[in-house]
Amino acid sequence: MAARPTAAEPVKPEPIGVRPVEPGPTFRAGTAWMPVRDGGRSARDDVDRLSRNDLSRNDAQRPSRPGERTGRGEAERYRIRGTGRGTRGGPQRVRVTSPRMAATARAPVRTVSREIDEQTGVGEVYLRSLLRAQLRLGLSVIAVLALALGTLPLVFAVIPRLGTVRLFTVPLPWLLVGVSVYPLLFGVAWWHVIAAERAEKDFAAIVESD
Amino acid sequence: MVNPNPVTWPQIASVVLVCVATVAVGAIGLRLSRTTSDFYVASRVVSPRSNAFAICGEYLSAASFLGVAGLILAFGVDILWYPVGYAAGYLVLLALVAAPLRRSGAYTLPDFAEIRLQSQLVRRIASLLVVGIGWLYLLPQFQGAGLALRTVTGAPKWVGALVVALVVLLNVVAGGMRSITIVQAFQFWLKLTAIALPVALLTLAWMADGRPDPGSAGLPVARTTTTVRLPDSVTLTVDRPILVTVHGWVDGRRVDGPVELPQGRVVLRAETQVTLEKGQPVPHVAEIQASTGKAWDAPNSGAGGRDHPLYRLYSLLLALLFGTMGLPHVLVRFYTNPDGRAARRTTLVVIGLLGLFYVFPPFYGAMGRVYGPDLLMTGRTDAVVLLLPERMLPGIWGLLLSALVTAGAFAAFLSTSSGLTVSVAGVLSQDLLRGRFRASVRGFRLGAVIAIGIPTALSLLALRTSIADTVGLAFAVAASTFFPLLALGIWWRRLTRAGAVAGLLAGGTLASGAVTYTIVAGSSHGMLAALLAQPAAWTVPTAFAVMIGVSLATRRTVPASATRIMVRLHAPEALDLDRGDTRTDARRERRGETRNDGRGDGRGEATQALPR
Repeated sequence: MAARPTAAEPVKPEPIGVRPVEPGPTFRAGTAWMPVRDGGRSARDDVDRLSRNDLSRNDAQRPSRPGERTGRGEAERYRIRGTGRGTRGGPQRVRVTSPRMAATARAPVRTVSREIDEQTGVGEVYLRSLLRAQLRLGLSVIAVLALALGTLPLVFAVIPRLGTVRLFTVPLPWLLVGVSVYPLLFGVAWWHVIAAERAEKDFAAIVESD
Repeated sequence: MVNPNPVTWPQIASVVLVCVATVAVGAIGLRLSRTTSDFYVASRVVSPRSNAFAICGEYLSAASFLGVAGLILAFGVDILWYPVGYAAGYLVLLALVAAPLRRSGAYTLPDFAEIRLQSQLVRRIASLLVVGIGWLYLLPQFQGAGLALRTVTGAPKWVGALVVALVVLLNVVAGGMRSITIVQAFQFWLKLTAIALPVALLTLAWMADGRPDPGSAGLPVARTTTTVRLPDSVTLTVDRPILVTVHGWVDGRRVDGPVELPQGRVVLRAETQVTLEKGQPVPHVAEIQASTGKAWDAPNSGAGGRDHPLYRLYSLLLALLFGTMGLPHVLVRFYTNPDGRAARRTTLVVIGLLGLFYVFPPFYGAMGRVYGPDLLMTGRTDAVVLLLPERMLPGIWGLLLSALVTAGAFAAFLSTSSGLTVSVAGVLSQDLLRGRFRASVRGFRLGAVIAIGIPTALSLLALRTSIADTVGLAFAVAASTFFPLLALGIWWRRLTRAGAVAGLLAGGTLASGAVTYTIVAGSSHGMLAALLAQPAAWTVPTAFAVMIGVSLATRRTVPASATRIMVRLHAPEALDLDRGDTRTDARRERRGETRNDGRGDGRGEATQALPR
């Protein structure tokens, strides 16, 4: 895709050697703590200050509270061109971590959804199994279709006498092609819907098992 | 056909009624839904069943309502595969794309191309194709409208096309019919009633008439003394010398009175009036070969002069089965489903409803063989559905049923062309117009004018293909371009931008070249003509091969987001997974994670989770 940066993600060169921790969504969508209830300040003020790039460090570094509600609708309304990334004028935020060498490493909890999110080998297997199951279903529907619709003209071509057979005064080909195909289509469609939903349920059970 | 019955007001009234009802409900809907968000919120409460009514309302076009019966009258049992293909296309759509497409969040085909491949170029090409396919599909709608109005009222051909174009334009410019599920659902029920109800009464009339066999041996003969006025100049094939009464020009000579038409070809000038006596074999326009009832009744017989019937049949089936998913006005309706599961269930209902509808049109084609063989003389067999009621039922019942089928036909023109116009106009303003017309209301209105204007103008030219054939060509282009894009985009992770571009260009160029040739040159004979008239059998595999081949050659450029998008397309919505879309941000925040965009180049590449 030709670079068409959105307002929220401007292309910005980053300094070498420092790994910036971006406020990202916290900041972008952080309008939940912007509006009036925060010390009587109006959201409009925040917007003004943001556009002047003089947000105090206090504000900029305020960590996101877990479970904080972030209204996306509001974020859209207050989003300002060029400020989505963080404090441009202020100092770069740097992640500081302690290695905690002494502590015993806790075995990480690896959920299936995380495996899939992080595109690990295990996640790959789960995703592929879903894809394979659904594709197999889809292709079997097409195979049934090909068998039913595809062979009928051939049968007529090979056994032309079928064309002269009449059922309820209507010639057989008219009944076969004009009427009986439709219930078949509906039946196959019904089967596919049920089977596809079952495959999805199985996948959901695996992902949500943890 | 000289109108034997000068009473035309019921038909005109029904046309006016359908047009006024469409505009009125459109205007009410405009008042009800003002903003985009209204529409989206409303869309969440649309159940699969009402959504399916709306899809069928939009899908059943002039080709289904008029075209199928007309082709059956001329070519016989092989044409039954047309409606089978129209319905079975939804089964393929269900099996391969319905749920993933809904989950992709794409509103149009270009949207899907961009989401999947992150490429503006692919999007641009997809937009051009949407406009081309939309025009190709709109063309026969206006063609049919002109024919219908002339058949029932004798008005010139351009009147009907203009009426439909204006009503659609009014509707679309005023607010769009898109959001109004109820209008489309109403049009579906109107069409189903208009095609099914007359069948019951006409069957009774047929039985009372001694059950004449449409497939009886020999050539079709005039059932009563019939007078035909030719709207255009035609070349007729006369199978047996016949004595007819002519007022007009035969082979360049002025004739007023009885004249023997010799065996072979005869050229009759426009406005010539020909009277056939009862029991005389009906001469055919040269494009349709005379066929006996036996050939007409037998599968793969090439009745009506279509050679290579088996190739044509398979190629047509391929186009219809795989082209449905690439029709611009079909996809948009899937977006109104709340989720992928509902999209599947909607498709299931659609397949049931279409199957119900398509049982009826062949009846008109078969009866037309008995009661309207003179249509073979004008070549306007598409009019058979409109003419039959009055021919078979004299008096008020015939008149009322004729008004009903006319209303159904206009519902077909209006609903399909409205849906197509909205899709084409949207794509024009989003992707192809520039400056202040880009993605604005003004741009959408200009887009609507362009979207309608060009096919209306083209429909006034003397086109040489029938309604159902032109629609078949639109399907062929869609199957050669969007089918590979959707199938590979949804099921194959290694599709690359270069592969998609090359495949779309290859399929699009080949198919539209064949289509243009067929529309301009008309039907002719020989294998080459068959290959060009039904191109899908060779253009679809070519497009697939090119798309796969180029993707494999450029395998290093597989978009980094491919796996994320696959999760989005295939995982049920209820699962809490990273789909690389806006919902993902909210989800990460819920988890207290921060997002690290890697190089942060704003390209929407796959996001990497922080090392923990």
